[in-house]
Amino acid sequence: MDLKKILQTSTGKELLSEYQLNLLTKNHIETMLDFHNAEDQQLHKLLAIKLESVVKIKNELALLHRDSETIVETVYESDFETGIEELDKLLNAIGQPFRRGRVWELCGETGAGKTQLLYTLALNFVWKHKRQVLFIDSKQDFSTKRIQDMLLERKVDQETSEKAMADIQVVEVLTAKKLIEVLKEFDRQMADGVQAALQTRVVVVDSLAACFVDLRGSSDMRMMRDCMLTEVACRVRKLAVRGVAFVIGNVSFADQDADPSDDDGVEDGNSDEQSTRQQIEPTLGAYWSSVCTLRLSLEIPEITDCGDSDDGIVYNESQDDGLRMVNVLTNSYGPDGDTCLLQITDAGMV
Amino acid sequence: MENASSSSNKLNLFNNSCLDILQRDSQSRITTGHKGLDRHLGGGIALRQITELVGNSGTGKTKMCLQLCLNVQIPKSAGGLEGAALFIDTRRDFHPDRLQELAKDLERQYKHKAPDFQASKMLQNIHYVSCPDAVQLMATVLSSQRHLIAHPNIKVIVIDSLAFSLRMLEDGAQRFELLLELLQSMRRLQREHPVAWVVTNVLTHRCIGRQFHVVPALGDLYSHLINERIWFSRSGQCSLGKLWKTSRLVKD
Repeated sequence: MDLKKILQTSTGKELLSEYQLNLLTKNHIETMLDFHNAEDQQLHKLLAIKLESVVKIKNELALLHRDSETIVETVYESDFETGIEELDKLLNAIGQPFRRGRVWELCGETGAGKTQLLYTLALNFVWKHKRQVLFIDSKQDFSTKRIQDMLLERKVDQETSEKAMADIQVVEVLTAKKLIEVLKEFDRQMADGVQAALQTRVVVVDSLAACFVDLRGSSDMRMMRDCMLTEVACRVRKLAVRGVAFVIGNVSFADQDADPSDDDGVEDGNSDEQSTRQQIEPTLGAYWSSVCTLRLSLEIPEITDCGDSDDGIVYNESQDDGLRMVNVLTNSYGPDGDTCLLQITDAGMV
Repeated sequence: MENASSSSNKLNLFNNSCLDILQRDSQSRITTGHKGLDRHLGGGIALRQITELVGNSGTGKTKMCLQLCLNVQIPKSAGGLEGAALFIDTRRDFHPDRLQELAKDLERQYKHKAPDFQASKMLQNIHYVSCPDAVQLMATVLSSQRHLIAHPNIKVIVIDSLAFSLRMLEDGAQRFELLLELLQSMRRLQREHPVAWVVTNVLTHRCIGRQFHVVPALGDLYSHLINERIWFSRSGQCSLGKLWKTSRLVKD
């Protein structure tokens, strides 16, 4: 539909037909931006028009859209960026920048700073783009204070910060069923062209695991859980096709079934570092691990243990240096295994 | 019921922004009476959240529980919630005398701002339930829905101690199941009623790799589901954060 605009250009009108537009779509050139980014040579062959005409159409298109700023907007829309320098560098290196339609999962231990990173991503997004973020909160945990503090720390005026906060929409979700309802509704509103839904380009879920804790135990429940999970995955994917990016928080456990009172030492030749790395596993099973296009884990870098006093705990000044390591677990668009370091500050993650 | 919730959700998808929440919820917090802690928590313990107090015995967890039961009653004229409290005691460790002392302190503190705020009245507003075992605890949490309907001004429910009754269960699987069941009903309840849950937990040892670490009891999934964790130490200091390694020390 978007492509039809090509026909509005004088050269396009002259040379191209509906058939050629369909041809473009078949070759995965679906939007104006795709057309703009496509190789001149490729278009030349595909459309069977002169190379000069291709360049001419492109130029005319650019002129056509200068006033309406659509080109600018589409460019923004496709490349979101996280706004976190180090992370962007890492993501560019592995060929997976934050874009429309991406489904990311962020996992990590309790207290590692998943929520902080999610807040930062949400805030950075509404900050840079005139778009909205839908924050799906499954733990009734959403802290406006934290968002406000982050904005205060960034030293912005009242108006900008209110604008940013108004752009973060929060939905509370307690169960998987409700989550599916919300996603369904979002999808419906997008199809209906509700402005607020169309304005929303990023959905943040914190946390998915919390929605699914109620579904456990008997095999029936397990089955139900798997059904729900599949349903969620389908809904997420469907919305992703519409151009919504997802960042989904999940929790990792050192060892899910470990009995806290089990004091047997783990006897293996691995170094500590390695053995802990192996034990940490995101929840929700193998199926879910294939849903996301990128799976990041947020880890606390190993620091020298301060030891235990009589009190059981020691108070030292450098309790937490705020350094976190982002580790790429799986990446469906490029290599995985890369890491980068982030710093938690009062203004969010940098 | 189901239809009602889904239709309200249709309306609510995009009209509950961060800003709206900020303007709406600034008042609904229970002060801890600890200045630094209040500052870090944004004014005190939030309603509709589960706050856990963790620390070794004798570090002031129970005192904080009692204090919260009293602080929730601070009159609206003095910036409080004017609510009531439900105290669920699993250790038979409830001392009315101690509570009265704290109440008298609070009365003195608010003498000028709210002369009607008296210790005897405060004690009347704290409902007490004793649950010596896990089954009774479960039953009490399930029936607290009824309590909340009968006494809509209950704003805080304290379980002191959550870990104690659960850890008496021998069977690990049963304990885990019961814990999740408890959390499920707590979460459901706090969604329907503006109530804060305060639970206490103890520290235990766990072997990770080849080192022993001191960690809060009841496991990781539980840690994920609670909203806030306050650490108490013997030196009288508090810290905030889910993991000890990443917690922030609260200064006065």
